[in-house]
Amino acid sequence: MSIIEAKNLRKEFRINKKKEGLSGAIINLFNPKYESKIAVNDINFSIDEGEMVGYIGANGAGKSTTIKMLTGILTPSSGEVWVNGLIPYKNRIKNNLNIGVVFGQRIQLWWDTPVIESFRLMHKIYEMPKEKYKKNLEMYTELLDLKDLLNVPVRQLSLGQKMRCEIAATFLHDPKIVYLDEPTIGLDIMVKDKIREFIKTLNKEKKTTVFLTTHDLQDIEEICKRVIIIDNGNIAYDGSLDEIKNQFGKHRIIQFKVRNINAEIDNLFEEKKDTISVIYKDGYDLHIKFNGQEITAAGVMNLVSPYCDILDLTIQEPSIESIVKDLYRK
Amino acid sequence: MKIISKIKEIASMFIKQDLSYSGFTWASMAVNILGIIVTYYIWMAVYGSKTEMHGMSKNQMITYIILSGVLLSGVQWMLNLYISQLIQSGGIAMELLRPIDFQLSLFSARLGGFVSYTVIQCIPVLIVSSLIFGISPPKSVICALLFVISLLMAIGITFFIEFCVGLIAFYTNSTWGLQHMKDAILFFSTGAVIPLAFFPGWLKSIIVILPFKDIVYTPVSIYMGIVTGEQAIKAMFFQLIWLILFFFISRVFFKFAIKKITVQGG
Amino acid sequence: MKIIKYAKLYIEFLKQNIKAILEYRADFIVGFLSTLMIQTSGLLFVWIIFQNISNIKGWSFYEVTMVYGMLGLSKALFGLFLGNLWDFGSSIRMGDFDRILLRPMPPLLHLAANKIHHNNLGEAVVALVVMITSLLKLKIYLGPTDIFLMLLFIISGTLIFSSIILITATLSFWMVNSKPLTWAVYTVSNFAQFPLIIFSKVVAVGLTWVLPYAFVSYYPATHFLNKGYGGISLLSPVIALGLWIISLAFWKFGLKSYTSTGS
Repeated sequence: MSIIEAKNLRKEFRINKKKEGLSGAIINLFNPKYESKIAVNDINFSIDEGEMVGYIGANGAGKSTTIKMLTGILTPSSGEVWVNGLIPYKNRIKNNLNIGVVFGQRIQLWWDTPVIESFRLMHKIYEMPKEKYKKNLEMYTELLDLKDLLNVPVRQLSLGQKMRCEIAATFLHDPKIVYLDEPTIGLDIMVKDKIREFIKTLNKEKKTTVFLTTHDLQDIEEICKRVIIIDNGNIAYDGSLDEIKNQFGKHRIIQFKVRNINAEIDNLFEEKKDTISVIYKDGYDLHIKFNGQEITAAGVMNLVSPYCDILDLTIQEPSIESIVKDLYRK
Repeated sequence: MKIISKIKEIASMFIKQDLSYSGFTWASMAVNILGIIVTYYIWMAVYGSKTEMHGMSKNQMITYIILSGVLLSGVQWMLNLYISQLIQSGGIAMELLRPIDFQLSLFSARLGGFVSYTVIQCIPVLIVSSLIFGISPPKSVICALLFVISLLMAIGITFFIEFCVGLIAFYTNSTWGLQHMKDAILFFSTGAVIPLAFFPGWLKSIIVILPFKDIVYTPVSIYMGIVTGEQAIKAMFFQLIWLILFFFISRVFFKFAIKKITVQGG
Repeated sequence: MKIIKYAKLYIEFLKQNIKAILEYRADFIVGFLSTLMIQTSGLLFVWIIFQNISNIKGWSFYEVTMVYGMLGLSKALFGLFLGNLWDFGSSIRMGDFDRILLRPMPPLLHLAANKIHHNNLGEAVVALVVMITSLLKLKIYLGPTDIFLMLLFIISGTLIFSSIILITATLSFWMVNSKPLTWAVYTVSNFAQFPLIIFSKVVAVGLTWVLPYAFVSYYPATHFLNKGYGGISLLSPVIALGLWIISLAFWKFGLKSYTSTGS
């Protein structure tokens, strides 16, 4: 039995099409014209308990609209959505007891009091038994290194410290599902790591389902096994992360460190432009993108070496970035 | 045809201007008018069947209420809020880095905003109040001229007072608290709702020494001819003194306040 | 029982608020002093007037201050508990309201409990002192029924303020910024600081049946001051309850509209 289920989920917005000028403003008052925008177009997916799913898409593709419907703060135009056996927008308050939500860079903790006070208040709001609260508090303080932060007023913390506390607060009441919207944005690499590790640990220990939307594809790589891509309101892909890398990860990149590039190398590139393409070229560096299914790295090196002195090289594996770019372009 | 299209253009410009009155402006004007209405009824009830009190007839009182009500909100500019918020947000650092004296740039902004802020808000309130209650014209042309000068000085004094109040935010965290305090003090010490003649003797002698009466009472009393000739000039002279004094106080306070941030780093 | 659960939760929030206030002690004092000053200047205004006359349309100084105090008390209590409604519009604009919707408690309760606007404490204290002083000076002693009635009136007054402002605040679901409107509507209550008879019929009717601020202070005061109108003061709780129910319904309607259009 899946814990999140979306069936033919659709959200259509009516946007007031405003006219220009004074006469337009008056006309609009008496005879408003509406334009319909379909943000989410009959999408279907189902997520089991304990899954960690990445939900990615370009801005405006329908990500936040989907999350809002899953969390119950937006009513769908049509279709069904089930979370934890409840219809979220019909049972919002009850559903909220079992979910946690993180909005990147936005803090739900209370600014003027020490972190621990916010935790205490959350403990009361979510009706947690005292023992569970104590246990979780101890565990999260350990995992996220919060010991020195607990007694500091939230407003005095740095962004990284705030987000660590924020994450702890979100998981405090052992929610069955946690929605994360850009959780690591603006954070330095150490904090990002800590947070990703934390999420993975909790998923392992408590089978917390994780629904992650982010533009940081490193987050996805580290945390998610499954990826759903939404594009213009439609699901473009729903499958494993590995699968998507295999299917679309044809392109690899070689970065050469060179000297003495012969000008005739441009003829080569013109000739071979279907197989390889130059991403970057100056007197010292030459970066080339090539289709791994048509030519090997060694093959590229052989092509290029007559035209310059190769001092060193690095081969880059396909990044989700480029994969998604390709998918979007399709 | 050309004339009609020109009229259309100007009219639509005025209408657009109207439509672009922010909600805040509408509300300010409404609150101003409401205040004048409340004060009106209170005083009418106070007068009861009497036709004059302390040398002021009912009609004069009405003019006084309207004028002082309009002036009290008109001379203010909420500069203290602007500065307090700038300090709280830290944006003050940017302002201080500019190659222009902070106070001077604010003052020019105030001058620039005179029409769009002061006049636009005051004129409708004045018109509406006059329509409802009726206002008398200035006692004479000279009164009118002196009134204008006195009014300008009143605006200047208020500017410097608001400037100083705003700077207090360097020392506390409060923006609205200080605003309320300023409101409270200005409310009755400016003579805005009560002409000075109505104050009991001992209180009157205190108020007279304070500068706040020069913000509303002095210009209004000149307009109405309550103070004339030599007395008027004398009043304006003291008004000028206060203006200059507050100018210096604000400069000195500013220097002190700046030292605080450059020492503390903000 | 839900009400008990939420009352307990509110108290937890209250504790949190008090801790926050103690963090900003100087701010609290400035706020307290400033409201003290505003109240004092308003009272001073009334006092100065009464230096020139002995009564205003048959109302003596302490009778006027009784009305003044009653309005101030209900206004302050409203501000203490529902003061957060003022910034409701901007919390929607900044996207902070969604966070409130994601908590397992009624959004209005959460909004109200999130911050206690302690500035109103000064106002409440002064208003209470004014009321008690007025009653003492007027030699009006309250028996147990009277005290019960007084409490009822104060609660009704607070509810009337709360309902009116809740309605204008709810408009923020549709308007970009309903704060100016809320401010203007709130300011109309200043009329009710004074006995209704000094105003014209139009104003009196407006304050009774349109924006029923007169039921916060004037009519209840007439009950204790034996100024006639005997029965009408008892309408206060009725109007308060009715208005509160209407405003809650409007709020729920606004919520529904918000969640279906998603801002």
